[in-house]
Amino acid sequence: MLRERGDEAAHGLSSPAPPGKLSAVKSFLEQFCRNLGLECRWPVDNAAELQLTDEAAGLIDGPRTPGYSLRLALSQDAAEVHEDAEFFTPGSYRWDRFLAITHHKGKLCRQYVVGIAGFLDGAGEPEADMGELTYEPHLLIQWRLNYRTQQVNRRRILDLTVNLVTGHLEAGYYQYLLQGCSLGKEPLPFIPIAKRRLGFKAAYQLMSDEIRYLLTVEDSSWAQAASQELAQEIQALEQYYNNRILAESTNSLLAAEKAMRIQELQRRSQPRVLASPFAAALLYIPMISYQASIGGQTLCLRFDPVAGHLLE
Amino acid sequence: MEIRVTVPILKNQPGAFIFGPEIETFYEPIAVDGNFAVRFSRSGLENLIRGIRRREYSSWEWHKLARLGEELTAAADAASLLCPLHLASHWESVGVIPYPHQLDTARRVIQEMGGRAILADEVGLGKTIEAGMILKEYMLRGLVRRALILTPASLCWQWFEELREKFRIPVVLHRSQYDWARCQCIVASIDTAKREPHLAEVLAADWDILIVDEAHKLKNSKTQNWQFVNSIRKKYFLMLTATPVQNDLRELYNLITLLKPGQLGTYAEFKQRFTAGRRTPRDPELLRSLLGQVMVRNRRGTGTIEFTQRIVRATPVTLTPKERQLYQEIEAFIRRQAQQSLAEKKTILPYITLLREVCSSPWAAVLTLKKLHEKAQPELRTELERLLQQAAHLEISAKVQQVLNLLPRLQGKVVIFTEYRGSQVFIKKHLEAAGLGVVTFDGSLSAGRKEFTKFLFRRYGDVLVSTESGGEGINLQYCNNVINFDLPWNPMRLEQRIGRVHRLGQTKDVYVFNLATQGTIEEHIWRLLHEKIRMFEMVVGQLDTILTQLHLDKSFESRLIDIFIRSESETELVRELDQLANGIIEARDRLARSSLLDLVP
Repeated sequence: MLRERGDEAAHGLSSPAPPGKLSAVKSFLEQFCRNLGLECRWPVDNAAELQLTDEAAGLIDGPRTPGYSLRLALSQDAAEVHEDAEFFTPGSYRWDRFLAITHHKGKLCRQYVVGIAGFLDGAGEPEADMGELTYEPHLLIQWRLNYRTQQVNRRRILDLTVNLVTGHLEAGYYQYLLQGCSLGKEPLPFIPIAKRRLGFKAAYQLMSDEIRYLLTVEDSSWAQAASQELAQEIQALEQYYNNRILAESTNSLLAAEKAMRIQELQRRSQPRVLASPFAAALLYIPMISYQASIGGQTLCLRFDPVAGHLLE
Repeated sequence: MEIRVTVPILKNQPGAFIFGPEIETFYEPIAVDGNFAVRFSRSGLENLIRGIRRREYSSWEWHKLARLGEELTAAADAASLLCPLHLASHWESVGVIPYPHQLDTARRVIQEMGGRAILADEVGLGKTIEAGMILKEYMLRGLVRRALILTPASLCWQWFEELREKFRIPVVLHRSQYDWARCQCIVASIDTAKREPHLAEVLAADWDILIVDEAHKLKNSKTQNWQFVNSIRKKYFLMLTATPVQNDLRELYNLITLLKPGQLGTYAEFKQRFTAGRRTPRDPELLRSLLGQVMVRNRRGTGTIEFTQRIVRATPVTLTPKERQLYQEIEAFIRRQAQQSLAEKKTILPYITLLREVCSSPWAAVLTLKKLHEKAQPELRTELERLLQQAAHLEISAKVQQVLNLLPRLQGKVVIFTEYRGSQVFIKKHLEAAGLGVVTFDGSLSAGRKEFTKFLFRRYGDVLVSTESGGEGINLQYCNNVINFDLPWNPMRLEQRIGRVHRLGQTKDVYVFNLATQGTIEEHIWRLLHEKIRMFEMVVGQLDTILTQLHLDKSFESRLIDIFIRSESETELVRELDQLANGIIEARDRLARSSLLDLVP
């Protein structure tokens, strides 16, 4: 009961992607190809041609799929010009497949910060006065928060990082890592690595507490409205069943049915947030300790060169 | 052109994932404030710790990409429906895109009705598609994992195919008691599911969504079906019917109460507030508004769908003298034997089958004649032997000749339907001899072979010769000529045949050629369907509704058999058939006059 393409009244499946989004999708695709070592060409604007190797085709389409050339259209315009191209935009089938692969591949990494503009440039050289450098392990988790009610279904992305030596938690640390930092698989040889003092479960718990706190302080009108609606619906159900129980003789059956219906309603409509980690990184961040004596007191200050701030 | 099928292909099942969405488990909810709670992923932590222990590290580039992908997806998530985006390329590859009214219905049901609704579109507007969209949308958003689709047995396969082919939903057709526990998404016959040992299994599960097709069969709250559906635990619930109200307002009340108890109050309250008589509503405006909260009905016309024309041509066939002699002798034999069997309270079905077969082609009759011959009493053996020899030695039939004359005049691909494998084989033989690319479809084909055959026909074939069972659930909208080589005795089966071709997605007018042999029972059936009840002039699906109302949906064929056997003369046969036709016409008029459906918003 679907209609054929070309119908005059055809409903546009997607409005043209805004330029910002389009370029983000483009960079996602290009990076995806780079990560898999695939060639990605752009024969025309917003239409890509990927040369899938046997291995990549197996990953994307299932085992034993031989390599082939996959054409993707990033906009509706491009899809109309290239009829054999598959539509590629967030939410599309191919997108979801690529994202599933990305999640699988990107669920955990371990990285050492090996370069920070202005800080690690001369480090390691005998005359450099950097203070005392130590790699401190951090756990970075990218969280997906799903806000759900009967009507609302939105998601929010949040990154939280916990220093596994001090237990210090920070939100938004990921952005610092993207600015002027370089990361590598191996540590810089001259920086010692501090011992982890906090377990991963404890770090996860700290993050859970933080998320719960963030949820208490942010606007919760969505949940209030849903709660009120749910309460009204439960009241209506109770009234209906109570009236029937009064009028009919099958009391116990009706009471069980009432409980079941209320449970279904709550399952469906109870406002809730589901918090799930979708990518994590074990990061080793070089922390700098400075010591100074003032007025007979020796002060030790720690500095996070990635975030660019002092830590108490 | 000869096509040989040797290699089974198409192993890739739609919906197969290498990295499918993992089943995520959560810790107990923690209250955030009085209004809502948060649940943290348990499996997320377990996977993290496992990964660190095993040192399963990937690169920072993949981490960054996952974050970017998730951000972009979160932005898309805010869109009203993900399903059309997700399936855009797939729909394009099968040549279709959805209608606006279908998208709007899916959006309304999800956003405004909380996933509990009666989809009551007029027939042919795509209720199944709407339900498929809603199901897929919930699945994409992670809100539905366990889904149960209950339909009449005859529609199970169609649902299975539609959900897999159009929505890439990895649905399973219910086969055994163990399927309930091991399968997430099941299509099952409601009559099977409500019986033990299945009943206990169905009721023990928490279904995320329940979809019930032909929901008008749940209009009576005293029935086992109603009680069964009411006992199923489900989060979301869709009921599909083109006729949510047929005879009285109580039916409507029962349906709505099954969907959303309390929506119309108790029955006593409903009666007091909304009924002035069995079929007369009180305060229809308020009732309509309450119904509008749980029911969607799209009607034909602007904004929905216009079908292409269906042009039906009667193609009378004059039997060759040898065929006529065979028919007359077999008919006389059948009448004699049927009367005797009735007197002895034995089944007459083999004789009726034989009569229908000989109307189709002599070759269709051969197999039944052989069986009858093997089991016959000695006194009948000679006669059956003679009839068998006569049938087996006919080289060509007038019907096949008619098809051969017809084909050169038709543009585009042609599908020929026959009820009998015997006829199918001989049609194929003669058409191939005439140099045509012929593929055949029958009920014995495996799912993979069916796919392959469809591909062959679409890509290379000129003519598809399909039996009734083979044609079930296949969509042939790229073909616009149908030849009914024989006429089924049930008009719904005829409608289903034509419906394979004349459906949404068909862009050309559809030509239907009904071959009816003159001077046989087939000619009478043709007159009944075409001239009397004018079934080909009805809108798609109307006949189904009428036959259901008359309780003839399953027994039309038996009525015809009864009429044929009881009629002692041609005149009597015609009179009886006329009476049957008049009943159908009256039901059609009643349906047209019914104002109850106006209540539906």
